[in-house]
Amino acid sequence: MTVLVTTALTTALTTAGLYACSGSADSVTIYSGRTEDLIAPILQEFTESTGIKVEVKYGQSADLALLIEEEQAAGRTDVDVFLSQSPGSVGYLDQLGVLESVPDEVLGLVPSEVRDDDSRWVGFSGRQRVLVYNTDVLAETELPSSVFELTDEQWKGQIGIAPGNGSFQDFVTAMRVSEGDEATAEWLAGIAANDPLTYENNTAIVAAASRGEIEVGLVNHYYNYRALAEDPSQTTANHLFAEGDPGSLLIVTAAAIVKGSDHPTQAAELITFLLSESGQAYFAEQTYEYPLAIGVAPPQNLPPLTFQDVGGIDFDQLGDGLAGTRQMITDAGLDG
Amino acid sequence: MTTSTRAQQILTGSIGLLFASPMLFVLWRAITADRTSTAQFDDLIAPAWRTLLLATLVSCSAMVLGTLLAWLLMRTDLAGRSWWRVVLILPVVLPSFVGATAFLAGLSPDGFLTSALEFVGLDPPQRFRGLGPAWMLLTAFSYPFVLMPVSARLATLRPSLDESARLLGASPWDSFIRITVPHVRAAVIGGGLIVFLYVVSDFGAVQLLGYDTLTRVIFATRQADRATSFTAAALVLALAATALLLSRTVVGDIEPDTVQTIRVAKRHHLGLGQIPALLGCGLVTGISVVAPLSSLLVWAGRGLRDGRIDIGDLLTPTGNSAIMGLGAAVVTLGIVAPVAARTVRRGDAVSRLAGLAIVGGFALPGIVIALALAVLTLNTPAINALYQTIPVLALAYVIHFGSLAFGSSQDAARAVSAVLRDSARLLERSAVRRLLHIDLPVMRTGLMSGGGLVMLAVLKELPATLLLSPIGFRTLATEVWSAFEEGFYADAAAASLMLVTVSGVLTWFLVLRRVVAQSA
Amino acid sequence: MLEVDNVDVSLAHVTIGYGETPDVVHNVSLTVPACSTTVLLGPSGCGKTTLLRAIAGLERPRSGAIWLRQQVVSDESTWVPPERRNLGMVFQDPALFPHLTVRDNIGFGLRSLERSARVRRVDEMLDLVELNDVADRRPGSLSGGQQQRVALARSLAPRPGVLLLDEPFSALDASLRVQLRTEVATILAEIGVTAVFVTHDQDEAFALGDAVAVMRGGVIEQVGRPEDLYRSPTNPWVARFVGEANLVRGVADGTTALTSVGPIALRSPTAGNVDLLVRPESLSIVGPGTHGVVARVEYFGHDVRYEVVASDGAMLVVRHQGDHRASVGDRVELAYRGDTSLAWTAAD
Repeated sequence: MTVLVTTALTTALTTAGLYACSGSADSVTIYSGRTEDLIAPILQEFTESTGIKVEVKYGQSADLALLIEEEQAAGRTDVDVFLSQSPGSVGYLDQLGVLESVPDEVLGLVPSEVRDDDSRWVGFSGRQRVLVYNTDVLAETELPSSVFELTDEQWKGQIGIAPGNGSFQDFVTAMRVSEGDEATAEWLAGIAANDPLTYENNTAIVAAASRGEIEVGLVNHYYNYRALAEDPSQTTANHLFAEGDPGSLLIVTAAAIVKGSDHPTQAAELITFLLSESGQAYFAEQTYEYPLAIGVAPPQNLPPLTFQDVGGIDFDQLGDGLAGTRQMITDAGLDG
Repeated sequence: MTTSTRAQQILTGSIGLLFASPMLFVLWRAITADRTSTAQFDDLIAPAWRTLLLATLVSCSAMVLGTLLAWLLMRTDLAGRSWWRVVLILPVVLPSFVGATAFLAGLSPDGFLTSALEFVGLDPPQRFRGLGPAWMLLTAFSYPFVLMPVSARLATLRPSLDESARLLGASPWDSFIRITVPHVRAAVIGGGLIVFLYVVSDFGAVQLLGYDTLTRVIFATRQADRATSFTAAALVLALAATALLLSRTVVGDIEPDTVQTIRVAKRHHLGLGQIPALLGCGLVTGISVVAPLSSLLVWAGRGLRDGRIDIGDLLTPTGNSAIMGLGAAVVTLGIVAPVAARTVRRGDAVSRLAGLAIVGGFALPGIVIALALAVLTLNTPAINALYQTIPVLALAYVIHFGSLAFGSSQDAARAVSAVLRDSARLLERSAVRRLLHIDLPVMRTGLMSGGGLVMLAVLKELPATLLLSPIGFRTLATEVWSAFEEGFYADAAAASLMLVTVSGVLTWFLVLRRVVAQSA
Repeated sequence: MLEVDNVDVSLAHVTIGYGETPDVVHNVSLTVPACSTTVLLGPSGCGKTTLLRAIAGLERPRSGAIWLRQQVVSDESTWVPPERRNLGMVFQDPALFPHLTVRDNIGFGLRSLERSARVRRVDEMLDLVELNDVADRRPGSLSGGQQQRVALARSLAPRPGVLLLDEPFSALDASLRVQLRTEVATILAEIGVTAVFVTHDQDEAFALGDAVAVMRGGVIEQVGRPEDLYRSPTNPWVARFVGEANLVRGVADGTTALTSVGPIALRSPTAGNVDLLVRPESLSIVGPGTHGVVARVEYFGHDVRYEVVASDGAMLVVRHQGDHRASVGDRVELAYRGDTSLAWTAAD
């Protein structure tokens, strides 16, 4: 016992010492809201091809954003790059004024629709909002062509949503931008009146659809691909709303450089790498996402995506409207 | 007052303050938050009510279930009881979100639970959500918090008390209610309190079961509406404080029975009662252990077949988890046990307040403690170099889980009687040697079981580990979460099973082996 | 088994054992007459406590039968659980319920009584054991003697048919033990309860027992009134266990045996080499002489205890009444002043 304890303490102290002096010149520190499974391989590739080391802290985007906020409030910068699962958390930090501008040459790699107008962040992969459904219960033809049809009586008690999740909140924010607050509030109230089942995240919705707890659920497209990769016998499929419908919004994952970063060059280099052909190919092939860089084709296995699908939404407004969106979701009685 | 007792008092006070710091942080943020919208507080009433309802229901059912199981294990000739003794505490090793996810997966068309229900001729529920299911599942995951301290208490219950009651005309059930229950009441209520705090701070299971509690509000609003988030956290604290004070009044000032048992207890002969007893244990295990584990095994099996799982990749996280679990348990005991001993021996206001702060730490969701400590380290010049280092992470564990070691440390301190300490003082002048050769050996069993609980909790801990760990520090819990979050079930299952294994092995060697040997 | 009306406890061929280990109690039969105290006396590990627990219903015999007041409570086909046997029991540790007051402890077994009757009975019991002043205290604050008296009152309160006592005084100090023993004897006589008392202390057994059953190795060696056991033990082991005994080697010629302390009359005719039971008080020192050398002297006031090494090398204990006559190293003459003596054929 004594030996064990001594070993434990020694190891703990050495580890503490080691990590405390990290952050050498040729390295970049990342807070990643994307989980390890979704990004570690491409980061490793980055290190192999550039020689720049990466140090990553993983967590939920919202938590990491809060951590960056507190660090900045204490007058320090512990991180160079923030990778967010959704525009909401980068928008939150942008509002606080704690993001550095992303260099123009990096911004230029993507179309203007998927980057910040004030150059504070840039999208690096896309997820399309879709309706996941249980193929044992429904046929594709029975499904609605617009997200607005989900307020029909027919779907009462059959819809799964994740109102507390960033992806749903971003989707509602986008709907406010494209359809206006009134229509959005009406839609939220209609959904609430249909007694939807709420879940923590997209993964839980897909799982619920697969065990027949719900018939349909509002999720990002790639969760069903993941679920099928795990268990090919699962009877769920994605349904796309019609082109231009706010229900088929493209949600981007975003990269930003944190104010006061000691390694802005390496940070920019990292983001450039994520937007390079091999980086974008990784997202397309390994994580079933849409590449965003100009000139990179979407993967074969995904339905084609054109930026018209986005419906001309200005992604800039996704971030600053977050608090209002949450209030609207709560007001509708969805406890978001 | 001598200088040394003065110093002890100041030290106790500082420890109390340390444990109270996240709570003070929450209150401060809740009060100073910028309130732009007005409707926030009304929005919290319903979740607060649901939290209270669920926590009360779960703690009551866990107290009943835990006590009954403890009695079966310790006082009857239940078949295979040394085996049950290990199996029945296993539910605490699964993080609640893993347990709930895996349990729910058991309800899918080809899941374990669906097959089991169909086997006995029942239709699996199409929906498993809301109060009832949350009540059931959280009870199934949390009753060991009652089972363990009550078993320990029963092990020291003199058999002559029960025998006297029987000879005075009490039936076995009568004697259980009139003698055994009062004897273990403090342990039952202490365990029930832990369960209550566990439920109010749980996020994973209630969220997956669609039962909206305050914790979900804290999470959902933590970025979009920080005022609401901190107000919700303050409400959680208020609930915890109420439960804490209530449990104190219910327990009252009953002197624990300090007479050491001389004879090994004669076990009640269950006879035909074996059948319902075994069925009951089987049902509890089926829900809390077999159902989740079978899903995990299916997922891991798929991953192993197509070679997606790389066990080697889990070695570092496993090592980190084990070291942090053991280290944090030792540090926690080092900090908590002296305060616990002081509350028992001296019972002064300082130590009692410090005790309250220690117990309250379990009620705050980990994310709140993590943020509080981050803010604290970042804004205290003397220690801000420690931000995102192991010591601060360990401190978060200590604050969050100190309460798990507190009760059994108090019991352990009671085992060192005043007479024993006086005679030790006459025989050995060095206080350090007395501590090493008298107090610690006598307290060992109690300390070990408290430390074991802390270790298990640390192994599962997620939010503080994610936010406060050094960059790049991976534990089994972070691996499990990261894989589950995006639906990498095979990886998640492999890491979960590793977590269960590590927890099981460490618990066996440090705690259980002794307990089983003692009562075999 | 002969059943007699005035017998409260009967055991017939009771054997108690577990698994493969030797029986703890082997083939024991015993009757306890009503309104008397029977003591089970024996060294630790002899099975006396196990036998008592079997009477209580806390152990189940492997074979044999037990009757309480002519009712079978345990045999091949019958098993009456302890709470149905109407027994009282006082344990070695007082086993008071720590969470109840003295009053509530005593009233524990009186649930079937109405409240007023219960209060009255508890008060009676408090009077009986003289503990009225501490009636509302918790057991933790009482002295050991007080605790044992509460335990006695608690077990007597429901008017048990039989009271069982399992070494109730062994945890107390010597003077308290003697005092409490007298008190308990008085109380038992006063209320006329049938009692079975377990002890390893011969003084206690003789002071309390109307009859004493001496146990050894799971069997009863001898049952009888204390004076019968003392005067007529069935074998040398019992002789020694129930009091100090000299076994003096001698040669018997029918009615008398010749020994190193002179001729001793035999209680029954024997011949050849014998060991004679000579209690120390049957010997006295008559003056200087050649019987032995004094090795040790202990002065008790009413008598003096000498250890004398006899001429044949044996150690003899002498309890001499009267004046102190010899010192260590003195060569002395001994006299046998007893009645006829028991003799057993010498072992070798």
